Amino acid sequence: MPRGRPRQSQNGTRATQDDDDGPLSQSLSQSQSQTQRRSQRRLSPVEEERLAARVVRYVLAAHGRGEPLRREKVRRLALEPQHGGYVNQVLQAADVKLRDVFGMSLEVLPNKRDLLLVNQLPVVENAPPLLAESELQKHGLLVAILALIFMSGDAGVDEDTLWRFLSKLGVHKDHKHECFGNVRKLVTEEFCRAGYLRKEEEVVKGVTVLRFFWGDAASVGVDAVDLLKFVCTIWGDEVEPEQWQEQYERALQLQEAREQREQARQQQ
Amino acid sequence: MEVDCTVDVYGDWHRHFMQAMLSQPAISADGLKKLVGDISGNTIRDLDQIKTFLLTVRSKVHSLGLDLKKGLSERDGRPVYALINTSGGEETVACAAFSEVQLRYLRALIQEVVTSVRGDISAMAALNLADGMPKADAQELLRRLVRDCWLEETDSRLALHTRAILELEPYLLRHYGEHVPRCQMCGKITVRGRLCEQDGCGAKNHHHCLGKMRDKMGVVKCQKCNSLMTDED
Repeated sequence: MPRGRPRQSQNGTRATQDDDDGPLSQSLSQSQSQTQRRSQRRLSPVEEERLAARVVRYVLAAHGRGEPLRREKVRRLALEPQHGGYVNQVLQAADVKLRDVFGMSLEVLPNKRDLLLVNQLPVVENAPPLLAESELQKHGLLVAILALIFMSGDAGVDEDTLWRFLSKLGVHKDHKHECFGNVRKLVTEEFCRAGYLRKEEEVVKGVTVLRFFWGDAASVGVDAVDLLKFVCTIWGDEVEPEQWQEQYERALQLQEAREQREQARQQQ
Repeated sequence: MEVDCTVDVYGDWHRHFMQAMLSQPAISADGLKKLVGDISGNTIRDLDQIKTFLLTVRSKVHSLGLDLKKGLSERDGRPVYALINTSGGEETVACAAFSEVQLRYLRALIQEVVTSVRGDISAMAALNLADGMPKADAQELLRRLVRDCWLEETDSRLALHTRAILELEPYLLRHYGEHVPRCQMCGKITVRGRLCEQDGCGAKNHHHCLGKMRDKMGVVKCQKCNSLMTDED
């Protein structure tokens, strides 16, 4: 579980924005305006609609199979060669479609290489689960790991701590899990490939170990304030999110970055 | 629940529904009724409302080359609703999320199933079709295809899922037209069905459609050549 306890006093140091992540306010609309400055050519509305529908179908299919979404792959596989130069225009049109029909947005991650589908619908109590049972359980595992890292602060979590934490939940790195299969592979490869976790190697006493951080997909797609509320529910004792001072401020920063992205999009 | 949601104006109910359909590409009639009820806080309950709800969804998703279609399962004749890609089938089969080797395997699987006499193949035969792919990978891909409602498995035999038939109909007709004739009773293409034994007739009808005829008329008659068909085992 997280180190430290919810703070009652004012001594907490402010969590600093992770500069490595780059500005989180990169958005489809911004990158599109850059492209447009370079070239005033745009697809006709009919072409835009046709290609956006293609991209939506591709994105949904790839997402359904749990594959990471790469801008390059969308360009190569969902667009025709002659339309490669219009990828930003088409991605933005696809985003509008996805929001309208599915209540999901198509976000460009700060590395500009990866894309992510993010649910924009309000969470509804007692609504049916939107993921298949096995995906739902994987999602649960991911949320638990993200919560652990988030509560541990900017330094991330080393492998040892992570596996000890997970073993308390009955998930062991070297056991084949009934639902997750190879847990080590799921955590150190699949979640990292999908961009939800970021891993770094470090050498401790001559041994190379992994350290885990939130990946870009988590920063963009996970509502940290909701995550903190979730941790408080588990913690009990009527703890409120605000009492985790460092974490609360970091969560607010992430929320603010989200809102800025949204504003930039609406201004477009 | 949002107060401004209505059955016939596309809103968050419909969006929740579409998200749910992404994670379960095919759903039974009962499952659909429950899903729509759950999403709408039990506001949408009666059949007319559900129909209106589905119409609203369908007219919205058409512009994306998607559709929500109803088909009858070739296994038991029960209705299945599926979210499908209507862009022609080639795109699905050539779906970008498969690698070249997987794609070749998928095409080979479809061909083997569609051209088989019963419209299904044993899991073992399916595995043996894998070419240039380790058996373990083929097994994993088969599991994925079953999970995603492309194939359905019954007693270790693999057949095309209703969802796959709905989506791949143009592809199947183009490449295997003679193997998937339209059922004389329901007019839909038939992958798993019963061939008329009469020489030169060639009609193929769904087992469940023939079953309905037997229940209604007491006999089973080929609608094409009029010959009487003996009861199936």
